[in-house]
Amino acid sequence: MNQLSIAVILVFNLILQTTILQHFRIFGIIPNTTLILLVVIAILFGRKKGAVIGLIAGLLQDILIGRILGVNALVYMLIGLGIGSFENKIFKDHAVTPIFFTLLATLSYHLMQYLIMYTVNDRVDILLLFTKVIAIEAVYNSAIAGFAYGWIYNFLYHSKTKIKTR
Amino acid sequence: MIVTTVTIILIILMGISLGGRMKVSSPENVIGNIFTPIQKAFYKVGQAVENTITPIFRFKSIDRENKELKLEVEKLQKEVVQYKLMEDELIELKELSKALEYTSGYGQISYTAASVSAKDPGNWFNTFTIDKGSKHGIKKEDPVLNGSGLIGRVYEVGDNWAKIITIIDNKSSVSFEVLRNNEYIGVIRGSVHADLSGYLIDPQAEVLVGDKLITSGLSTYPKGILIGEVKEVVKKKDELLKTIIVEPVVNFKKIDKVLVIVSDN
Repeated sequence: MNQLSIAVILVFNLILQTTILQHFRIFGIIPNTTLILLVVIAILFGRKKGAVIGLIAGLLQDILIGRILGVNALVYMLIGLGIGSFENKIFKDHAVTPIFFTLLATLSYHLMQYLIMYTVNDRVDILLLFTKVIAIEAVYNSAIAGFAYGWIYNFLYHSKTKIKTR
Repeated sequence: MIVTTVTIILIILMGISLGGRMKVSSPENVIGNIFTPIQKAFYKVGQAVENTITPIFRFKSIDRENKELKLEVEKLQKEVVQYKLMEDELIELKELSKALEYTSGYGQISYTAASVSAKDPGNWFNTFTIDKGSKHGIKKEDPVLNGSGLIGRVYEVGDNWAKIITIIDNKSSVSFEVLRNNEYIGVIRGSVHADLSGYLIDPQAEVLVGDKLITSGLSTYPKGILIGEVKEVVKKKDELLKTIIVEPVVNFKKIDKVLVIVSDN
């Protein structure tokens, strides 16, 4: 898995997420495909790549459409780092792993987002946020992660093992 | 160690970019310039797919809507006749006002039409980008609207792209007045749930469900742009002010073309 193909996937994913997926919101919510991709990459490649990819993906998103520069970059980087540090301790061949970690990542994404927004004096009703956004998005993200994991696993991880065994 | 350094740098970046900058930095500008045309193309494709698929699932409601619209057309046609008569009168009056050298309160406004190129991928905010920027005279805080009413304001501008914050965003607030009686003014705000709620400054104001709200001209937006209709009036016992829930006239799920009011100065 070279850096170029990861970059292409990230850019393509962001373009899809900001354009085509916008037309297919369910209950007004769209799944965060960047987060799903980040979780899968962090599970498979570990904390270092997880953090770097999270940082780049977040920064790109902040520049293109974000409100405050650096928010998504910071949140994604910490999530990539955190989940990536479990790399050697988890069983990677089962779909439950990405589902669990995506759930965790979605919750921590919103929690960190909430903390940052709270500090910049952008008060949000957390209960409303949880019922209208976080709960629905967590279900979407986990479901998509469960389905997409097998595919990304084959696509990314096998090419990595090939490099490693050489 | 590296993580800490990067975190600190990112926090500094947040501090700098908080509240939107007058001019975005050049790397951001370049990235925006590259992505905007691509995003615009993809956005159009998504829209085309959606416009083909959704009517198939909604044929029943479309049929009902069709009948309602036919009734409305009949009603409106009757009104048009009346307005035609009034128009003639208005033209006469306008000529008269020219003769009296009367200057109207509405200055010269020029519009720039733009299409939406991308929307915010998260579920927190209601922002989107358009395919026109400072090259076309767009500046920060310029009001954005479409045919139905007020959409929002410009947040950051690049060469040929700009970020827009909608009025239903949770950081947005608009000062309004009731169209029926312009003495009733107040403020509405957006929320995470993408609806508008607000309050009237006068606690005695009689605001009714169905009242139309327009911008009052007291905030960044010019006077007289339609915002929405009052959907609900809530009067709590322990609060002095009346809270209103507003249904925006613009369908924020289906924005594709917008108008930016470009100030001349």
